[in-house]
Amino acid sequence: MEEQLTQELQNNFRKILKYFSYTEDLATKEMIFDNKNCTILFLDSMVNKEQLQTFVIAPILEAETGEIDKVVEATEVQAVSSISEIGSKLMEGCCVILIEGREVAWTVSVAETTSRSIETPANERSIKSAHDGFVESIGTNLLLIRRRVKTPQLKVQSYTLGRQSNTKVNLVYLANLANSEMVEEIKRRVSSIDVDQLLSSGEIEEFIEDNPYSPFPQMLHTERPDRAVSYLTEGKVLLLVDGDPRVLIMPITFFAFYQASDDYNSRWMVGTFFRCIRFLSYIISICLPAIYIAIVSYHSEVLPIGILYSVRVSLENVPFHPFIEAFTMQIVLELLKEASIRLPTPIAQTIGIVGGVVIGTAVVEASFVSNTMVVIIGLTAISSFVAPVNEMGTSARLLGFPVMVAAAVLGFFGIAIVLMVIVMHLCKLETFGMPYFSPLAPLKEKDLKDTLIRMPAWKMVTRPSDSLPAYKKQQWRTRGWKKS
Amino acid sequence: MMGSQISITKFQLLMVLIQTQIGIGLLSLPNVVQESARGDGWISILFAGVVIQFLLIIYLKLLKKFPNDMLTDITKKLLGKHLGTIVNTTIYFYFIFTGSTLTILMIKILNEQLLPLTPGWVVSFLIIASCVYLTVSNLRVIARFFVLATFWILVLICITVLSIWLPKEIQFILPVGSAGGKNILLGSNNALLAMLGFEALLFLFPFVIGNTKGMLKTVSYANLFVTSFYTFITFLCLVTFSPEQLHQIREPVLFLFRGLTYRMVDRLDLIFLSIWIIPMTTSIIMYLFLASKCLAGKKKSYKNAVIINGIILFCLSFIPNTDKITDTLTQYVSFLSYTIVIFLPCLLLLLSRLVKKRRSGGFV
Repeated sequence: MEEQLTQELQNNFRKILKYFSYTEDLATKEMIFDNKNCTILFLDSMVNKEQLQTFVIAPILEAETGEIDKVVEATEVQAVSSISEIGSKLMEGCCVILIEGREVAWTVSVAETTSRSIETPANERSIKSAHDGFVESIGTNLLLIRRRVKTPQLKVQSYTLGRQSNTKVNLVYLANLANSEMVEEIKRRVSSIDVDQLLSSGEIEEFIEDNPYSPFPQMLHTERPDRAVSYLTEGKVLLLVDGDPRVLIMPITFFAFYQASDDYNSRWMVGTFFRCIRFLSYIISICLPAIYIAIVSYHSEVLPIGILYSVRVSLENVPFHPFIEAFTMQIVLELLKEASIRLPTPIAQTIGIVGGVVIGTAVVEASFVSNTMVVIIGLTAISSFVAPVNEMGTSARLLGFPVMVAAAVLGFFGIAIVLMVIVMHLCKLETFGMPYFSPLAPLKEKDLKDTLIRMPAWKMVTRPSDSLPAYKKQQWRTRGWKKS
Repeated sequence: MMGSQISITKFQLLMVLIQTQIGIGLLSLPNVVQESARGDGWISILFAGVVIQFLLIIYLKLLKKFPNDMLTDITKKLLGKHLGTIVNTTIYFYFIFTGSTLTILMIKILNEQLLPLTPGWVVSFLIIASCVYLTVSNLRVIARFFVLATFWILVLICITVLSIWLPKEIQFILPVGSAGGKNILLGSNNALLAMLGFEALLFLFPFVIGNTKGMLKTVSYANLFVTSFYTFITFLCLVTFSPEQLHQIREPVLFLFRGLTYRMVDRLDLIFLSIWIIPMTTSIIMYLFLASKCLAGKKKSYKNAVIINGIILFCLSFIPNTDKITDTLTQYVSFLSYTIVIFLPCLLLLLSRLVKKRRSGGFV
């Protein structure tokens, strides 16, 4: 049974105080209104004092009598009667006006909004695209999205998740475009979450993703509104979590991780070229060390005598198996990355230099690692950082390890088998019922225009069909001037 | 979409048929057809392609009468429950034997060319485990993977084109037709074995979307592709190697690439074989799928059937792969294949006509 307000002011006040565990930042302001005692309650830390003064306290003192919702000049005035409702309003930053002899209270929204200003996202930089990024406030993020898609079809569904944290979570999609069956499924999964605290979008991703044991990320995090909106208009669903600048996009395909906003603002040939480079980088970061290991330890006859000679010479004084070499070098690289990633820039630079010198030259001179291996690992590392979304690059580096092991144990056969299993896994993966490796598996020729290549914008008459949008056509007249 | 019945498109069927047919058989094909047909081996393959085309037409005639049934259901309907079960068991054994023969041959070739010291069971375990991993999902996922795998075949064709620059001697195949009709026919007989896999149609037909129209075109394209690809490769081998060489080389296709040397790579045959692992595996996957469908029927125990069949395949791959045993195995498979692939569908087609006539005569 929910506790309701009574007619006694002191009693109500005590109840609320108890509800808030006698916290000391619950402030009060006593006043006389309509010749009755009147108390304004608010969480000291959550309200904007100036607003409280001008929109609530001043009008009440001035009017002295009348109806509260007429007197108070704020936009959001609401009458509530249960303690728990008052509690949640207070936590949102409202103030509560209690009056002697009334069984209802009025809540007025005077929340303090401190939020980081909109900046360029640090981990998704762009050269030729918009420079704004999402922030920690869910309201601002919605604003950034709404400003880009001004349609009444943009639907926001909000949830409050977390028993303790009461985090606001918003599901955003285009009602006339997103596949309704899929949206229902996402809603079902999100509303089934029951936890104490929900602090980031990463947690919610793990709660609702289809294949938790897959090495591939199945949802796309982005801090770029332009990117989020571009997927929104493909019929995908966005998930915003209050307090997290990263927006979740679902369902996503493998190839989305290799698209960047800049592709669409470069000439299409340039865009296509970069796409190809990125896919090459993915293949290199998975296979290159493994192929090298397989060649030097099993199939050296693949190399013609000239190259074989120079490779063998560099291997001459190295006491370790190529697999050990490659493995330790990869680990050292990860160490360097982890060490420098969270340090202040000057120290990180020092580590970079020390690491570079030590790894690059000293290790080779001490003949712990061969020259060729340094080249191979360097190439692999660079190409794993090419992926526009960091998670996919990391997953590629991670997948490189089993391929390396297979190459060290079984040579080319091992590589072929492991790669085959990876591709099988990609074919099997489905997120929210949509195939992950689309448009390659299942093959959809029409969707290939925006994956491995980027066709000119006026060729993209239909939107990608991987998330089964309600209608496909997205362009009607682009270069119509040419025909007349 | 989600939960709807598993089905594949015609394009996927095309790719599945191609992937099932193309496999390990290609590597030794020129050697095999050359045994009897000599320089006219390529005609043998063309002829085998024509025979397969006829068979495919017969299959389609039969299947169109039962558009929602697999072969195992058709046998039960036409032959009665008991006889049908016996025939279905034979079909099941055929698939298991073909699958295991393919596995054994694959292990053999990998042991000879890539991994001379690795024990065969490690190789077979890895192959079969990955096959089971894909096969347990469902036909749609298998079809997706096969479509992707077909890209690899295109890559391989590109590599093959490189070997055109090897020295050629057109004399080896002249005069055309000198081997005589009988020998060419015998050659076709041998080639048919390498081209097996089209019988998958008998099981895949009910899963194809829109299987009432245009099926002949799809399967003919598959046959056309496989036949021309095989003929092309065999022709290349026949003009590159002399008959004596061909007789001695067991896998002429690999030797075709061994002759190529470039600044950056040598021994293209190893790279070719590593890539060829995928088409070889896809054939095994398809036979595993067919055997499991046979075992499970329309019941839901399909996943268990796949795992059981995987274990059986793995056990069968312990059969030592000496030449003598593989030859006997191949013979059994070819005998079984004639029964299942040629005789049974023809018989079923005849029966279905008779049944129809009797029904229309008897009940009207």
